[in-house]
Amino acid sequence: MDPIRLSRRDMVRMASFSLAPLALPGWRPRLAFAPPGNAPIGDVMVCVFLRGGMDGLNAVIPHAEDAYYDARPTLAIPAPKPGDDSAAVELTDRFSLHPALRPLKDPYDAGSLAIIHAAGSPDPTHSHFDAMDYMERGTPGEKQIPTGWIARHLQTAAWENDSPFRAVAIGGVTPASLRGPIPAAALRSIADFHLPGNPQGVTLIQETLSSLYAASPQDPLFESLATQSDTTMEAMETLAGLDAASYETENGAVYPEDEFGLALSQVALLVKSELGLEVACIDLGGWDTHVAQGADAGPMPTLLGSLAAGLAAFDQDLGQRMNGVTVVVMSEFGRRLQENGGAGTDHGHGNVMFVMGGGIHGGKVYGEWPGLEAGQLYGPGDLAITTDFRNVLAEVVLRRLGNERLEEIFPGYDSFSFLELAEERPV
Amino acid sequence: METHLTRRDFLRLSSWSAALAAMAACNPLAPPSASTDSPIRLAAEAARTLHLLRRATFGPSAADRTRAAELGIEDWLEEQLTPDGDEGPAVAERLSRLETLSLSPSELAGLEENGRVVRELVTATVVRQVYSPRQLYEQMVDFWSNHFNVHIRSGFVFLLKGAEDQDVIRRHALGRFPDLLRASAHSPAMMVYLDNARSSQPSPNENYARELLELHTLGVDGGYTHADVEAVARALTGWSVTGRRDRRPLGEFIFREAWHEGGPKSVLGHDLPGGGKADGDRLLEILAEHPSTANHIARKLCVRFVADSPPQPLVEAVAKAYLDTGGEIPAMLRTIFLSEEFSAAAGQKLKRPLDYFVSSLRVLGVDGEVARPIAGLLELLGQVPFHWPAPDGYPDQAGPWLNSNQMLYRWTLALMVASGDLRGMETELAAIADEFTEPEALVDALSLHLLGAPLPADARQILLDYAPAAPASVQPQALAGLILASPHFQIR
Repeated sequence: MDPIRLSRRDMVRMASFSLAPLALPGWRPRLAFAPPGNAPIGDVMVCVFLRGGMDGLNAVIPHAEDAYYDARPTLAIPAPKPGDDSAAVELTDRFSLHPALRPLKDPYDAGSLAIIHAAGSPDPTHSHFDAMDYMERGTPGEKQIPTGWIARHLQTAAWENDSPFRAVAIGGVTPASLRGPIPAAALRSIADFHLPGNPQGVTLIQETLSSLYAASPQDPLFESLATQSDTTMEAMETLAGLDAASYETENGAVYPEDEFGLALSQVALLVKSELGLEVACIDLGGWDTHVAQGADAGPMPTLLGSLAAGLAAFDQDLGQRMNGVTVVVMSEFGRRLQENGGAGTDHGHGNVMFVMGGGIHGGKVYGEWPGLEAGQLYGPGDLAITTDFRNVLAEVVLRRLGNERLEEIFPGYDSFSFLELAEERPV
Repeated sequence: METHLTRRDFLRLSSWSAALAAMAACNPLAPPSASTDSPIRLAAEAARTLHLLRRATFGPSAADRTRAAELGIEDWLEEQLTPDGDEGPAVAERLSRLETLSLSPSELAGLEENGRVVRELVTATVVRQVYSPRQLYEQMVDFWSNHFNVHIRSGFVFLLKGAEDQDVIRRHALGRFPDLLRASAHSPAMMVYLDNARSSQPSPNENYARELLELHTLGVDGGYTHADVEAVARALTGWSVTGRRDRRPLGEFIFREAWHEGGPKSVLGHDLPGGGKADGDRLLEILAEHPSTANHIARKLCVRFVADSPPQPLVEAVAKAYLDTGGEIPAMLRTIFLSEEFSAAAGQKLKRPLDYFVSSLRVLGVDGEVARPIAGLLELLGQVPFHWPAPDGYPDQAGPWLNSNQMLYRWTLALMVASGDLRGMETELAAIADEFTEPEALVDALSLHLLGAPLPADARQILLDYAPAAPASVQPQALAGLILASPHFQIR
């Protein structure tokens, strides 16, 4: 048979992703990726990056501030009011959730979702690209360090893990946080992660390709390609045993039918399959809302709805397994307090972060609130930052991931102190 | 390709490539001969030509290699820098089937089924990249489409992007940067995408103003402040796009005086005229003349064509060419392609997904319909033209693309496209397979045809070891697929 022919069905599957329920494998892979006694000790960390600059002031609303209502005549969300679904959802006497984030109220009330307000990167840049870069490298204001903060965490961890799924980016592009010496896998769809053709032909092709890449010339680019080839081959081999196409969620969880929901369900499958996953990165874009962002309906509320529904489904699907999972949600900066003439908001500074997991002291809004009055704002009228984003991440790294090498993960950061938002993970 | 590879072309090609093989065989320590037609000199010339073709085209087809061998490097480059208006019959015939290309924004808005609009513009773009003889021009169209990135799925941008492609990007792709910048600043697609269309006094929208400074002209470290961003935003208030309420055709540039913020403004130390559209016009001149703009554009061109971290002296030389010529794009490209630094950078760039996709089709000489599953792979590879959501355009460096998703779908594409058995799609492989039947000769002919150079000995042996295991009926296709999937076809 033709080893390189692809069936029509394969092609259709390749060209479009389906959200058909996925099923766990009937078997439990017992793959040893680490030597005995030196396996990863920490949580699986899921990093969600909201690209474009999320408007944190309209996500977690400071409803006690008159300045918020004065500055946002068309965008402000009404303060919490019993029985009014379009009003904000009360968390504390000072803060409330945008109604589209209502699904996050459950994990918040259950004590597994922590919110950190007025958090962010201290560098003053209002450039998306610099701000993302600084945050993903973990080095605000510093562009010389070529690796990402997550890559440095993996590099300095005290344990070993040879899994091709040690670090995974869901999507087609490797985020800057994962760039470094430990190869990260990128995948769009577990179900489609294989070469087309009959098994015998494919095996032969794979062997030949492996040899071609192993024989590549001594040159940095060829060597990087050889590393990626190895990772890809191992990933195909590992995923061949997973029946991702018939994955079924647990505890009645229903993921939203969008890319974010699909991405989270793939991470859930990887977690449950125990493939050695330590870190997964997911991007959710579209937050650069300069025009008509919408108060209770519109582009931003739609994104908030997707974010909340996805995270809530993930939490529900993983159930007890969330005791070994920590999700962090961040964005490169927040947005200006004052709405602009187009009912949108321009680039700002301080923002909100979310951390969710069984080992998180949730049900609380962390951080010192800097206020929104004229003298309290930062730069051109932005929310000030009172919690460095590295402080949040560092606590997660220390307490949930079990890596103490902060000086290498966040070089130059010397003002860490525990917010006490994460519980020490039992060894 | 329209022109099938003839036996004569192929012989010419192989004699040209034989020079390259001679280079691999010769002793590098031997002193170069003074004779102008020595094998060493010919081989070096062939290697330089191949390097230039790999960078300045979307992957050298047999026709490009023949043309470059005929003209020599300098003349081939001049021909590419000053292309005539003819895209050739292969492009014209294919574009003639895309009916929405010639429609105005209002006509597009009136279509019953407008899903075609984006599909046809993307198809036209890829068709030109694959089949146009004006390869460097298409490279520059792609470069500027990313430099002035506009996400086609953003609101009603999809009605406006076709006009921008024609009137802004294609009109000025090999012209002067200041003209291109000015056209982009008047482009309805850009005004809508970066929200300037709705920017009015008293609270202007900063989105376009910021990206104009950061991405389009000065660069993020180009020496501007937040006050400059605000002043630029104020200067551009009122630069907008006609809507249904305007008594003008839909989707055209309009200056809305009532939205404009008059009064004095100072940008980068220059005072603007003091109100009206002249403020924005003067602003664009200031930006186009700024040394930071020259440096920013020079660096990006060097990243595109030379190396991910280009040598600083070359960046400076290209920036100087910009300033000396008032931003002539061909002058910058000449400086790059004829430089020592360029010659020394062979094989240092990873193909972007689009480069990989298009070069696969070009070296195979794909003719007939490009089958839909092949087109779908461009989406999985992640670089469909005009679909990068952020204003910075698709990444041009290896880091974001060096990953398993990329390897998987590159290999899949290589194996599928080489198989050539998709309905309606033909490649040049059949002609080669007819000519060369012995495995050694076949592997060598395929390497020369697809890579433009022989494979290293160890890679060649790996393919020869594989060859007997491939079913005889598809052996050439399988071998071609493996060459395209190999590391040697991932770089440019």
